[in-house]
Amino acid sequence: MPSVTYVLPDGSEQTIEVKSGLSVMDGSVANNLPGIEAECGGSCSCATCHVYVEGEWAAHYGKASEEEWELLEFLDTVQENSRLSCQLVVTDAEDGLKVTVPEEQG
Amino acid sequence: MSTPTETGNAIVPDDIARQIVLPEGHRDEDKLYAAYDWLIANAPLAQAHVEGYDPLWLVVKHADIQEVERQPQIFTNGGGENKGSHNPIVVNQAGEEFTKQLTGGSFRVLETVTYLDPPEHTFVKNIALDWFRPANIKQWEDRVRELARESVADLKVKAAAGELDLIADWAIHYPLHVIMSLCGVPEEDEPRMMALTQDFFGTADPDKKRDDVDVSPEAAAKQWVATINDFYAYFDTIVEDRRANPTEDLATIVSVARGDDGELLPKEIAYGYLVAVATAGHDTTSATLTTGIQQLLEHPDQLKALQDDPSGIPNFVNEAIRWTSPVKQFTRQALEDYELRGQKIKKGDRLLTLYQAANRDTEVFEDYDTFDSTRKPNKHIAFGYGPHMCIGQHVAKLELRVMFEELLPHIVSGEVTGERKVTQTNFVGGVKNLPVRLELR
Repeated sequence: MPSVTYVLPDGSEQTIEVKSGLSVMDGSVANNLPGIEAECGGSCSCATCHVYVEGEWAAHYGKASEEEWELLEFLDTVQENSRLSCQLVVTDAEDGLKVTVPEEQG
Repeated sequence: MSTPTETGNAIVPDDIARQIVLPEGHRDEDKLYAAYDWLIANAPLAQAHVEGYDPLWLVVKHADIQEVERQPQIFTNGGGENKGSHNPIVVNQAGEEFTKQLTGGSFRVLETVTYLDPPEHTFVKNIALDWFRPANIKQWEDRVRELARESVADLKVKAAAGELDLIADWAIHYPLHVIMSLCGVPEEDEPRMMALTQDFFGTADPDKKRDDVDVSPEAAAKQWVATINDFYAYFDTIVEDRRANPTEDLATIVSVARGDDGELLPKEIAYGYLVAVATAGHDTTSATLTTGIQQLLEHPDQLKALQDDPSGIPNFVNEAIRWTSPVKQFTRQALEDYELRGQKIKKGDRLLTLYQAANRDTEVFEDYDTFDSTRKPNKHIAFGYGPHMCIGQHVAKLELRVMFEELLPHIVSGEVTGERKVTQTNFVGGVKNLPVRLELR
């Protein structure tokens, strides 16, 4: 299974094996990691699963869709590498992915 | 209007409760919206006791619906561990009894997300979740635009012939056409799907009942089951075909899905998906399309602004969705005691989440009673919230945006020429007749 590293709001890191086909959000929620609230359950509609995609992985995933960006742009913590983690599907091609979970969600 | 009467818990005055709970109450939108507004101002969480119905907490505040819907382990759709013991769609007690007689006691009439709680809900939702992500939906845009262009050409012909019923003669066809194309249902079968979806949601409207079902207290439940059986018979052919000849469409994804054991899932799950998509993606979007056009005809300044700058269309679409809120309610059941907005919800109590009301919540929407196509942010809750939030919302937004991009350049002028009539239902629907005259270029 691909492994994903989450840099948590307190600065600590957790590396989780995420089943191929699930999202970065799913991996966090299934392991009760702090930070990602995912209030809408992964529908790209609430902006409470915001992450920064680190390093070259940002380019790998590319830009957010219009629908996703509409939600992101209202966040105080938005950056160029911001994405909603419910929209980031993990497969073997994303093994080693690293994301940072900002302190403020929603 | 009324004054509240208090007997321990807050009780909704009878006239307000009947306006909101009974399907008949929804025929008069002015009175219905006045009832929502009264609740928000005077009784933001109170119980309705309407004869023939279980007591229902009327949840009208935007924040309260979010609090309820983000906690499916407390506020369940299907009854939690006692699967199928709760009906997520409110009908009267006679109708619920009849459903139970037909099914042997369960309210789970469809194997689809609406009736399920996590973890079953999560599993079934995930079958097609990838397909519904905005990034995947985007690749269907060209196909949707073709359908929108065909539909606009059809409207030009009809508008040139004189007055038309904007929804019955026109708007009702496009959303079904889109969703059936994405599903993979052949075009020649669409009239059959149209009739079935009308039956599915028209259960409480005397104008929309099936010919083979009489108007009795149990009629709604009987019609519901008859319609579902017809859907199953039709979709069985599709499921068999996709298992033999897989394609890229949604029907294939739900037909060939396998469980953790590697075996094909029961066909009922594929039927459930296809029924849910065919029904939820149809009347909802046509009601929003019609209402959106009506608002532009009544606000020519907003029409002109969008014609001059089409980049405002996504915002306008969002406002049209807020304004229409075509899904009126779902019902949740509390699995434990819970305090919400100072009221004591008891284990077993049922709650009606009223999206049309929450989208008029004065705490969230400035000038909530003004249609403002530039409203931003517009955090309406028309698609619900939490894990049960509408899986097809990005399809709905795409098909509405594309339709308005194609249609607006053609509108010279237009007016509503007769009475707007709405469906008699407390569940899904809205406008069913809107006579208009349109000049299109």
